[in-house]
Amino acid sequence: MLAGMGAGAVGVGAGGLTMRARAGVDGPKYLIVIGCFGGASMLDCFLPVDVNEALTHEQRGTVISYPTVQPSGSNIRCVDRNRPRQFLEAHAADSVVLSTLSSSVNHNVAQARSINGRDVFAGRTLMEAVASVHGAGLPLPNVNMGRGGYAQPGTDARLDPRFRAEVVTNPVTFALATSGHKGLLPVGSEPAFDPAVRAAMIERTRALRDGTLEEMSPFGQTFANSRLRRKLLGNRAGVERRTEELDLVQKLLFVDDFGGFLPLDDFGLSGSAEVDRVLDAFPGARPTSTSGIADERLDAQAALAYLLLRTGSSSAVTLTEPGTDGFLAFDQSHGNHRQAQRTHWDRVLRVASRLIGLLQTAEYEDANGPTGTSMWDRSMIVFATEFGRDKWDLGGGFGTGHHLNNGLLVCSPLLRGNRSLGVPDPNNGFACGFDPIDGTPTPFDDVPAGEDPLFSDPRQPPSEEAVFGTLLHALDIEYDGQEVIGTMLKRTI
Amino acid sequence: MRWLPLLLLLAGCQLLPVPGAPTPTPYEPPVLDLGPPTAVKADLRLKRWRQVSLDLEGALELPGDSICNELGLFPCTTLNAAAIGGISIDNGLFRPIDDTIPVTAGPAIERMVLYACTERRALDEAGDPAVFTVSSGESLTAGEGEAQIATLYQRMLARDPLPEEVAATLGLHAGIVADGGDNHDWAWMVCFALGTTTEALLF
Repeated sequence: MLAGMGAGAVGVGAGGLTMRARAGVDGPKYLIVIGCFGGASMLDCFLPVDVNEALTHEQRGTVISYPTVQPSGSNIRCVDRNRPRQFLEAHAADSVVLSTLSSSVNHNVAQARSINGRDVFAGRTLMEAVASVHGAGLPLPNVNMGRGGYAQPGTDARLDPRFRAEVVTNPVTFALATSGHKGLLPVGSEPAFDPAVRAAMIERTRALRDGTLEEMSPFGQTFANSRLRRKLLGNRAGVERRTEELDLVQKLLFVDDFGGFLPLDDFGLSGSAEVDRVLDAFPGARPTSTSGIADERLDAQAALAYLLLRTGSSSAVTLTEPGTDGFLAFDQSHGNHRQAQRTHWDRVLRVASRLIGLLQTAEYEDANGPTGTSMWDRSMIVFATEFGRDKWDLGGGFGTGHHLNNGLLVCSPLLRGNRSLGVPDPNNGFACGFDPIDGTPTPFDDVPAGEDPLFSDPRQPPSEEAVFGTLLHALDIEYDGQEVIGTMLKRTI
Repeated sequence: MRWLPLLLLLAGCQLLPVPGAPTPTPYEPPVLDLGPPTAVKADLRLKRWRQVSLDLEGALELPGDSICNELGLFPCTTLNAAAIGGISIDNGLFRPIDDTIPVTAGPAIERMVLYACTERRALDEAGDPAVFTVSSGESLTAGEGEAQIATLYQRMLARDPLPEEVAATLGLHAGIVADGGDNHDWAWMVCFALGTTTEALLF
């Protein structure tokens, strides 16, 4: 930990790896991680250097800068462009922008560290930690539509495997795999093709299989103590039955029948009761070819994420910006920095804003029924990214490499919002750190213009451990040795 | 927080009055008795999707592209590869998930087996039966039923059934007929049951 941050970061507990949660005090919390694949540079969105202040250096070029704006009511400044401005106009009150210092410029390593805090919590990821506390009673506590390091499981061998991520390869069709038979065959008049008759026959057959044949078979008797076999049979009696009883095969379908591209009617399926609402928010979630792939894959991920939370199926969901090319996303900055950052920031902000809108207008119900509060009131969106990008504009359609100094956007009513922590230095493009108690920036005042601060400079921003600890703390999860940036939290530690 | 609906209303928004999708009440998952600890390397393993598919292709004499297609369009094995021991380039998942059984692994395998049994049944009903040899109708003689069971055990599990397994499987027939099915539906369900036993799926 860097001295500046270490001096003020609050340690919660000491030693050991005990986990405590305050879940139950006011119900579960929900975590949405959007993996901004490739390096979403905060210098190009919510920690910008204004074009009028940027240093031009003879050898290095000009610090990357933009016309900037601070929308009315927002304490956060952004690049003066529609999407970031609209995002702040709508969500500044719930948004915290903070400077960060990554610890790797390798994509996969840095992605994984952005969600596991450099293994500070026994190697558990943010999503695994949330699932294990807030998702214990849910059928799919941790669902991951991410990629690369954002889809990488944690390394805590003691974690109950139920809280490892359920990996989704295609959000459009994921719902189908939550039932062993529903919607598998076209609807017809023969018993096998009559959904109700088939369901009855399958239930009867499963009972024979699991209750009788498994016990009789020499294999079952020989391997009666196999943990894997018991787990498989346990899933059948437990969570698989639960997903079918909840009818997730339809409740997680965010698309409706779409003729030859998605002939749901022919297979006796209909979409979620919220199909219209979800498709209105995410029109690109529907496939328009026989590939089964959504037109806009991030739209499809967000649509499934919403339904997973809304139906009480999950407590942690992970998305990843797939990029316009399906792979590089923000890393297209190697070719054309400004264009790539603009394109992908706009995509993730559009989708996140609409997802927040859906959650804000979905009522949270507890065991006693409606609560008058929204799903959003207990949610958090983390715009995880691996690192920043180089800080200098070389002219033309310049490209950038990877850079450890960056920032993070987190949006949640659970945080002390409308805060911008750390400021970008117009003389070198680095975002400085801040006091973790009161948020006062720690600028690189004595660093000569055009020179970079050292990465060991104590005024550098917080690294992965403190950010990880703070986010979990806001989500009512504590562990011994937890570092917390108090100024981000609503409640006093 | 109780003022939120009013605030949202004033802001032009309103909380959605639960459009048929109430948040389910949390359930307590059953506590599994996993028995005494077993070293992972000493334990059984779940077949990966390719092996499940190859087994079904061989047992039911089907081409690979007939094992399972969702909505008649998408190969189940591709859609659910990550859940059943495959990799997913799209997710950057270059090694199979081996330390747990994903929730969707069981249903995904059931769908593969059910689809494959359905395909074989359709072929047998349309031409010379290779697997589903039982006669049509709802009445079944013991001999005919036993022969069908023996065929399916041999094809799906590569062994003869025990007498008690034959009796139990024959006992399913009455229930299937009561549900509205016939002899073919019964044999089809036996195919599904055997293809999804732990004996068929673990090694």
